Amino acid sequence: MSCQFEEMPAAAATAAARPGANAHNQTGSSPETSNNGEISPEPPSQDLLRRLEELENLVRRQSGQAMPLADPIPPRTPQLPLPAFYGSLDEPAGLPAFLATVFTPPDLHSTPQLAPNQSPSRADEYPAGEEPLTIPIGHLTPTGNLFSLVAIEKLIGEYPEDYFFQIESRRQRGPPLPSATLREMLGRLRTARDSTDRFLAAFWSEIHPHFPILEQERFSAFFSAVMENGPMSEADGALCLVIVALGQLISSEQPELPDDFNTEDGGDYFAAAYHILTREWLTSFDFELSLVSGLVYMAIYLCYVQSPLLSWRLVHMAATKLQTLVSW
Amino acid sequence: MPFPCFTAHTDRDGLSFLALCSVRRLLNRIHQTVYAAHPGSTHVLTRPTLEASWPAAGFPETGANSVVSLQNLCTELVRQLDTWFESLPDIIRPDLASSSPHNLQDAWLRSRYWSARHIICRPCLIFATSGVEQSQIPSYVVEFSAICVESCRHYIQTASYILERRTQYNWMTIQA
Repeated sequence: MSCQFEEMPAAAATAAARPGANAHNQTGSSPETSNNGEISPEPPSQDLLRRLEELENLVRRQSGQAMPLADPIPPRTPQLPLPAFYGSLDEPAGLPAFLATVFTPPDLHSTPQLAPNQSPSRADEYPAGEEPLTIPIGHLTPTGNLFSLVAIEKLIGEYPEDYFFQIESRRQRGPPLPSATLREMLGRLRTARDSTDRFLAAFWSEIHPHFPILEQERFSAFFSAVMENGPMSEADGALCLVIVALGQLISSEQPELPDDFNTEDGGDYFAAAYHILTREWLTSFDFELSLVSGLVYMAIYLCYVQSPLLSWRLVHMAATKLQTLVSW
Repeated sequence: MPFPCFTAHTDRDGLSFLALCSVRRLLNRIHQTVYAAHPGSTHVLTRPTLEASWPAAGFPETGANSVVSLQNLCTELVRQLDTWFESLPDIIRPDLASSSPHNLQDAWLRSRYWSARHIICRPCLIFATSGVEQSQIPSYVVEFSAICVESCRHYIQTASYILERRTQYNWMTIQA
């Protein structure tokens, strides 16, 4: 394909070059001028028309021909090792049973009324079992939508459809600017090593079991290296701050959930990480696992402090960064 | 820093986490097939009585294909949900005979199960309570309405366990 398209510019240049020269040779004069001094275009010569026709035929031939496929560009494999289950998501046979049941098409034999190759999925949109993992537009499953039903409206009165967003958008405010730089924050962690270790232990015992996406031994080595030698990148340091913030939050004995970011419950560490990682997300165009992990853990922190919209936003940001890995 | 990895198939925490991810996919399938709104779509339920009642109930067209009735949808999705549940490893599968969760992971799996079950059957319950003549309610609508109510009851029991403590799912538990 590439060599055929390379012919086109050359042919076009040839066709374009010849008419002017040819016309000049034929007439032996410059373009005609009208009585008011404007240059009027030369009448097209037969030779010009022939050249244009050749060019047109060339384009038509190239559009109609079956282009030989170039060798497919092999997908760039990420430099970092993939998680064990990353590839198996497309291979249901290799999955634990409860995962395989969700990734294989539903059994059509139990529902003979279904047309062939039709599942409960919409047959005109997605093949069975390949529905996108997104919230479909217009779905009505949240509790708030139930309040909008006609029958419920008769009981409770009008319930605005966007009531949830009205409430939550007033609440969702990011954390305040941190009181110290990243270097200073990491210095605090080094200085108060006992409490830092206590917060880390709380993270591993209370948070990690529910989101086992870090390997404890490796991350502990990573954390120690950051403490001793400083972070390789700001995202590395921010990730360490988020983990400590989570541990401090879950260690808090506050009986009530905070309405705002409480600096005593890891809020200060969280605030520092928040401003670093959101800025990094905006300004960096490379994939960095620390950045993505930090965004996800910040989202988890925000879930604990009842900030669902902001939490969702951070997960969305992490997802877009992950797409850069997949698209390499 | 290495990518996350799941290698130990006996890791209870990892298995619970993956189970929650997998049921999320099933929930998405439920959303896509039963609840995705398609303005102007010609796809409507096959049963005329249900079609006529949807606007009165304030319920939009479902995503049901013209050849797929709501009964088939609900039956198939409930079957898929039960298949998922039965395939959970023994060490994480909740004991539904007991109404009380053993721990938070057990509670979350229960809440997802009951939530999915009730969401599948909710359209039937809404229809049954929309003022339609009792004689016009198909038997499967009654059956699935009962499933929906039972699932809601179990969900509330599970939610009361979760909401006694601070978790990252408190808000979601209330909103589901």
